Amino acid sequence: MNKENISELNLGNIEKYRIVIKTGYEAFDYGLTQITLNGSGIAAIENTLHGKKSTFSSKLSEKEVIELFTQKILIDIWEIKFIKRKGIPDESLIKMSLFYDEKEIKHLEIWEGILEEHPETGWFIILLREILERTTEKSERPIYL
Amino acid sequence: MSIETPFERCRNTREVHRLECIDEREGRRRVCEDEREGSYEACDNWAKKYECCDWWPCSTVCAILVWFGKWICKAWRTVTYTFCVLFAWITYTFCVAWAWVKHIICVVIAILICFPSLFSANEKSYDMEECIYGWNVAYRIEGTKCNLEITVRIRLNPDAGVTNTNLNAQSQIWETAIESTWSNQFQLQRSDGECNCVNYTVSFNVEFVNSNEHHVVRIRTGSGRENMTNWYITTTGGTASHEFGHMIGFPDEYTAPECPDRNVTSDNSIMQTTIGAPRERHYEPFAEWISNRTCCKYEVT
Repeated sequence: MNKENISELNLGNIEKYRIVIKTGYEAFDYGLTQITLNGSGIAAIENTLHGKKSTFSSKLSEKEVIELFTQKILIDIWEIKFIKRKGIPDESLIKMSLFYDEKEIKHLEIWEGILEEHPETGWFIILLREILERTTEKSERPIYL
Repeated sequence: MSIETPFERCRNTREVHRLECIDEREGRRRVCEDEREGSYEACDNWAKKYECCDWWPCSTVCAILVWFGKWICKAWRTVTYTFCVLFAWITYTFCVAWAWVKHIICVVIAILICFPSLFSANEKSYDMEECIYGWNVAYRIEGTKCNLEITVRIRLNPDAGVTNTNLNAQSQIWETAIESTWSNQFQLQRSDGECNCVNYTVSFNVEFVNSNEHHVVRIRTGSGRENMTNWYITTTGGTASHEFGHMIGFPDEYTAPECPDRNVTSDNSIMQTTIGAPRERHYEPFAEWISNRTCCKYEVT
C-alpha cells in the first residue's frame, strides 16, 4: 500500500492500525523486545531472553494515541530519507512495521541512533522509551528499547 | 629487558663476533710473544754452547762469528715474530670484515623477513566491519620488560543530567572492571626465535582523557541498551568490558538473525556475554603484533 492508499484510509478509524517495533537479540544482554502499539489504545510488550518470554501490557493515554496515530507516523515517517550507515556494535536495529487491518503495509529497518538524532523522529524514540518503561516497570529484569 | 628487534639482534651478534675476533687476535699475539721470548733464549743458548778452539786467532774469529750468528738468529726470530704479529692482525682484519659481511647479510634478511614489522606502529587505528556493523578500532600497544601493554584512551562525554560525582565514581568502576577482565588472562610464549623474552604478560590499561582520545563514549542518564559509543551512568563493568572488546577490534559472538555468517561462540566469551571472559583468540592479534615486531614467533598460552 503506497502513500496515496494510506491517505485514502480513514485516519479516524485508527483502531485498525497497529505499529510493531522489534529491537535487540534474544541471545544477548537485554534480549529481544517487541513493542506493539494498537490503535485501540493498548501497548503490548514482549521480551525474550535466552528462550524466556515475558509479556506486559498497558493502556496508552489519549494524548499518546493522538501522537502516535497521526499522519506523522502513519504516513510521514516512512517517507523520510534517512542517512545510511553501518551500525555501531550492539546498536539497536529498530525494525518497525505498520499494519492496517492485520495486513503489513509498511516496514522500516533503521539504526536507533539515526532515528533518535533525526529532527522529525527523535520524539518518537523518547515516547517509545516512556511507554516501555511504564509498561515494564514490574519486570524482574531490565527491558530496553 | 626490552624488546630486541631483528636489527638490534644483528647488531648484537656483530658485536659478539667482533669481541671474538679481538680475543682471537690477542691469543695469537700472546703465542707470537711467547715464541719470540723462547726463540731469543734459544739463540743465546746456541751461542753459549758453541765451543770455539783455544788458539787465540781461531777463538777470536770464532767468537766474532758466534756473536754474528747469535744476532742473525735473533734478527731472524724478530722477522718471524713480526710476520706472526702481522698474521694475527691480518686474520683479525679478515675476522672483523667477515663479521661485517655477516651483519649486512643479517640486516638484509631482517629487512626481507621482517618487512611488515617496519610498519607495525605502536598506535593502531583501522576500520573494522562485521556483518551490518562498522566501527573504528583504535588503541596503543607497547612492549616493555617482557610485558605487552594495550592502552585505550576514552573521552567520556556526559549528558547534561550526569553529575561529575556520579561520573567519577562510575568511571572508576568501569576502569577497574575492564582492566581486571582483560589483563593477564593468558601469556604470550616464545615458540620460535632467540628473542630476549621467553614470555610476555599482557596488560590492558584504560585512560579516561579529555583530549587525544582513541574513542568517545556518550554517557546518558538513567539506563538503557548500551552500544560501543553510548553508555548509561548505570552501565555495569561487564558491559563496559564487552564494549571495550569492540574498541580493540573484536566483533560480537552472539547469535543474530541478521548475521548468519557470524562466528557464534558458546565458551562464555566476553564478546558473547557481558558476564564472560576473554578467550585465547582475543590475545592472538597481540601475539601477532609482538611476533612481527621481534621477528620471533609468540603464541598464546
